[in-house]
Amino acid sequence: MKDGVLHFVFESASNGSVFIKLKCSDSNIEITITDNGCGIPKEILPKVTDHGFSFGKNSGAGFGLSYAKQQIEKLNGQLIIHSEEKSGTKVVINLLRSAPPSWFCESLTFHLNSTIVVLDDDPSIHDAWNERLNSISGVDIIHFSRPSELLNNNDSLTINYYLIDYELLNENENGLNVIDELHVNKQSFLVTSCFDDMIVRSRCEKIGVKIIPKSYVPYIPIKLVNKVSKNNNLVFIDDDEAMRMVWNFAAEEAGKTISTYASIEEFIDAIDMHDKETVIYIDSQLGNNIKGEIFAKELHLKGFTEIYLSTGYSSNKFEYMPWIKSIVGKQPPF
Amino acid sequence: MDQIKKNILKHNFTNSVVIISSLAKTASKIANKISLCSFEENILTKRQLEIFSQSMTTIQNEIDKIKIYVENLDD
Repeated sequence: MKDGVLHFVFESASNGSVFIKLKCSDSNIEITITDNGCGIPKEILPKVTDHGFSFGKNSGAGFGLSYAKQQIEKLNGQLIIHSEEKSGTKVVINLLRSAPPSWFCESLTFHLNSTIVVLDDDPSIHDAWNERLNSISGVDIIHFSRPSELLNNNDSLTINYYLIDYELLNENENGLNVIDELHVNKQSFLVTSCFDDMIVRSRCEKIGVKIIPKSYVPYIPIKLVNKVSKNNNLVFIDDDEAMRMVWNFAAEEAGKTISTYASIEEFIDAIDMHDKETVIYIDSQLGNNIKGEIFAKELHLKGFTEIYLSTGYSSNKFEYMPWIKSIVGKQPPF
Repeated sequence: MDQIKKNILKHNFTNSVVIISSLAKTASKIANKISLCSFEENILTKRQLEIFSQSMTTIQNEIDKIKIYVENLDD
């Protein structure tokens, strides 16, 4: 799909330039590819996505762009082409943004002063993690290239996180066996190119380990958070950045300390920092169709008792939920 | 427009209203202090100025979101 569109634009750009722009919102992804080439004649433009239609090329079969359009529409997306002769062509691809798969680790949150272990037989992955983590002051990295080195490590250091490869060449153990053996599934992430392997995914899901595709290592957002003192027992979970800003400012003004999280995953990563009496305000609509009240039930089962549903909807809209202490508005209560 | 998209827009609209009203309160308190300052003598802290500036920018962004929501209503 991508090749079809890019070939189309590169060909029409001839000696000009091609610009690619990516825009993301909560619900959509828009890819705009623009060139300043020769453009497409008006009478040709409506036909360029027709199957078998080719223009201005000796060897063109006319499949690329038509296939791309078909694939985009299969995903409920849209392919729009604007062109003006002698001026250039603009292709806009609109796609609906879907929720990331449950096995996928979107971002990493590490506590300040934590120690992270990287186990991988490939030195380039160690380099990639070094590049990502060395710029963050407040975390230490320990590198291992063989599972036996890690399993027999007698250092008295407390290790907080494990970034572990799955396929360890010339070893009897794979990364998931190592995680099992060390009983560190809650602190571990599987960093692998085998993320497409259903067996790996299902094993990870069973033990609650998220997967980071190796190609994502240079880009995965990494956040460093302060360990919250047990007295700072206010939490606000909302996917809207501006709303989190409102709660942070209000708490600051009221002399309170609050921890705000953009997603359930972010809060789960930091859950050990909060005691069970923590007052948690959670948004009902957390984006990607995730319901705060359903996650609140899980938190209640984990022992959290002070959970409030913070929503713009009227409380009549919700059924009785014994795990929710009260349904409140979105205005900060302090 | 499907129901899911409508719900998201409504949710974002409600959020925007709360955000604007809360930040307007925060910003206006700081604005009152700014009005007491002369050009030569600034009594505001760096943090207060930061909060003021972030509030104003966010209010502007949320107003834009509300405009889009209202335009959708017209359709």
